[in-house]
Amino acid sequence: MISLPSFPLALTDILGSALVLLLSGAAFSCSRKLLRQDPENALWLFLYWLSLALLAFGLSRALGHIIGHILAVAGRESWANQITPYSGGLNAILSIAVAAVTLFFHNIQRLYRRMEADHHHMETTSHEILALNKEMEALVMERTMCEMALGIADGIRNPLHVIGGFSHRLLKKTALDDPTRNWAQAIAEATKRMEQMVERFENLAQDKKAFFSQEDLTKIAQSILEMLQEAFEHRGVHLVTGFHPSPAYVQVNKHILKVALAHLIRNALEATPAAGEIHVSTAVDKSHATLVISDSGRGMPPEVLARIFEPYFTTKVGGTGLGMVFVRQIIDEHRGTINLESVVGQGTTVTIRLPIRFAETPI
Amino acid sequence: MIQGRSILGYVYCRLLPGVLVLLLGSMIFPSPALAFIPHWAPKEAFFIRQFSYLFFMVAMIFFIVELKLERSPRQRGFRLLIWASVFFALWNLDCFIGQWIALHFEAQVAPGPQGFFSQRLNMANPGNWLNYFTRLDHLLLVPAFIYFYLGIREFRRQAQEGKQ
Repeated sequence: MISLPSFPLALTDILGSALVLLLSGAAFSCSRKLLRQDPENALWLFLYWLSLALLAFGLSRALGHIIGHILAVAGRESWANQITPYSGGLNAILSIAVAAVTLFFHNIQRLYRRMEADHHHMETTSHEILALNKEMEALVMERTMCEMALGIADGIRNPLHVIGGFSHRLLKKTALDDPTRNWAQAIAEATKRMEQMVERFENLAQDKKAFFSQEDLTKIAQSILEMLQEAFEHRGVHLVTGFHPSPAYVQVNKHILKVALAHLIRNALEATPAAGEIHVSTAVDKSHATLVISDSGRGMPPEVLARIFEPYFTTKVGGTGLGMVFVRQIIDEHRGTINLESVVGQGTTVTIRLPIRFAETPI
Repeated sequence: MIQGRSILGYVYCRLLPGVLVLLLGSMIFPSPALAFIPHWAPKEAFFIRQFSYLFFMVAMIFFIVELKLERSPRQRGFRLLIWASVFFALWNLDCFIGQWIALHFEAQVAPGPQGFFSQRLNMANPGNWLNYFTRLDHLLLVPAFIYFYLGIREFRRQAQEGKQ
């Protein structure tokens, strides 16, 4: 009859049990360090619990087997037989514990993905805010410089007019052979040169508005609505427009103003249920161009409306509470005004008024 | 706080009466078994072990499928964990089959010297062979733990690199 030696079984069992002890201990130690590094990481937490369950399982199983072999070699097989049911029972429980922890992975994975998506969203938002902030700073600096230059030019021009006027009057009253006539002549010519210089300086300051350009507010609104057309269709919201027949020219930074208007229209879209309406219209009067965005959404109670421009105030899940703050800042930087009116259950109306001074109709 | 109170309220108002009815109901309508049922049958322990192997194996297969569906294997750490799970699942299968085989084909010690290195086992039928080889289960369990350790070590290495 064929027979096989039994020692390979015992040897594999003893060596294998010792290796399991070592490896499960090493894995647990590694996962503990991983968790300490980032205690809020859901994946590390899962791996920590899995390695802990496997360590307990490995310990129970390996020790049970090794002790069994030692007792057998020592001729105490009856003791080994006494231990076996306890070790076996414990192993079964720990197997179930390992399986239970593993099955929990599904939830952990879902949580982990959500956390990752939120993290990515936050990162993108903060990058956008940072970029917008930089542009706003440059815009403010540019506008301040322009205003200062125009202010200085305006301040110099008035005394120059006085000097120029009096020098001309002096010239008229002075006899042709009077030696002081040449002096009055020199003053009048110098004044004229200075006036020309101030005029050139003023023109230069006005042309230097690199961040501002003359734009049609209606066209800006139309381009944003075009960009958001898919979102309107997706949400089943009707768009009603009422634009001013002639162009509503304003001096604006097109890119930054678009960011603000897109944010407002997106907000209106989020608040409006399917089959609801959003009205976008423009109007022009003597001094201002006006843009009105009104929705038939859920509206806001007065206490929310009162805090709408407060930094970090948000009613959205996962919102930063900075969107409306930036909108207001952008409108402020354009020397405009923003006004919100809202009735719960009826909707919200946002009115933006931008000054049209310095705005010229293009030739 | 409000949530905690509502949970307690739910326990007191809804669950407690139900539990009381269950407990007192057995006194009102007594059945022959008024206490716990004793589980002394040795076969019950056998089935508990078998179910625990099956449960462990199913959990490992679930884990592999979950990682594959999430396309996690792109990361080396997850790839190693998948291999660990494969070996754990195989080890459980080996133990599951081994237990059944051992129940019917117990290893027969061959007559002769009974020392550690000299003892031999009879291989009278295919069941004895299967019993012999399924008992070499550590050849599956050790690789499972090796892959598991390497997987976690890989995650730690990546985390440290990310931190730096």
